[in-house]
Amino acid sequence: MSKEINNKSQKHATRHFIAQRITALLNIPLSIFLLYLIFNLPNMTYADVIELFQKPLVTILTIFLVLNFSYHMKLGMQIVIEDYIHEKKNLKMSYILNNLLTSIVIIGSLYSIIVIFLKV
Amino acid sequence: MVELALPRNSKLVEGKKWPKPSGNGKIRDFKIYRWNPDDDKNPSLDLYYIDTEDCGPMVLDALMKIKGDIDTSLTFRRSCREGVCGSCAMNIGGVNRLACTTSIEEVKGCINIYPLPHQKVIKDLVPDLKNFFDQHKSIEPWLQTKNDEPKEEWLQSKEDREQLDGLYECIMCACCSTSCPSYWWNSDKYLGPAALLQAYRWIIDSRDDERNERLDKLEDPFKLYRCHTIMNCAKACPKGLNPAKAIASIKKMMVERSVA
Repeated sequence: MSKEINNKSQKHATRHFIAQRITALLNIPLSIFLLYLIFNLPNMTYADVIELFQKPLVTILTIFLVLNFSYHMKLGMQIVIEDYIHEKKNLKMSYILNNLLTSIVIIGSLYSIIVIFLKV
Repeated sequence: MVELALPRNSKLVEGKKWPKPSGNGKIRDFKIYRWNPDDDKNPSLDLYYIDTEDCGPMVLDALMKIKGDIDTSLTFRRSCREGVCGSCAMNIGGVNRLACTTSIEEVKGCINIYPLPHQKVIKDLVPDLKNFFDQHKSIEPWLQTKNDEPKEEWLQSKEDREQLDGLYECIMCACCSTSCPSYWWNSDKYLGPAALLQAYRWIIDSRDDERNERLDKLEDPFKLYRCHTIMNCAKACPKGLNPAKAIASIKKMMVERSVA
């Protein structure tokens, strides 16, 4: 393999592939954080939970977790949609629903996180 | 949408039961997919009985025996009878393989034989592979150079030649592509493992000067990236090749040039 490979043509297919892999890798440490939350929250009081989510590090990690998981989910769903849905009209509708669902998850989660963070 | 059920005129019905041979040898049952485009009947599974002591050891021998002695209308492709031409690829005992290199012994119970999955059937065990070979043609499977042609041959170092091992042996039998669910759902747009293995065979060839152009042509969400590493291709390949690895290598090259 002595030949140079240029980067003349970077279309979205490879970018999508890279984004999928990077978000998957980031999901590993974020999942550990999520597991920590899942196992610890049941033993905490309401006040403890509020206090925990008001810590800036926890807030930032949770926001990052929501964004990364949601984006990874959107990319994966897009692949499934492209695999199985072939009619143009249904495909377009499925893309819209996928983006809508992802947006709802992100907006709803971020709203909750911010409300808790700002709670006095 | 993906078709989850067969159309009504494609549903399999029970076919003809052919008489048992009179010999005392070991009798094996063969259920074989039959479909004739010239009548309006649904495809059927015909049952044949073969005396394995009066027949060669391979599944192809049994098919030849059926065609020669029992039912001359049975249609299938075959040529080299030694795993080189890839003509007799079919689904035997639930696995895509070559009838000529599959022994009757290695398939347990009744031997079910169907044409390669998810391809249009021309007749009986003969699939329509036009799309498959058109896809092979689309990757331009020939040497493309920008230099003047040498007087004798294009030279290559031993190390560069070794890069082609595990790739050049492909016989284009279509066992891999037709075992791939991704290819089943999107065979019109996804090139499939066989064509992509061949694409990589030319991308990696040190004598070829069109590497970037070849990669550009594969830069598409369907042509290349429909491979979800299911690995059926590697499992099905009768030559023991690994198309999934070749596809992963193409993806790696795509990423490398994308981030370079």
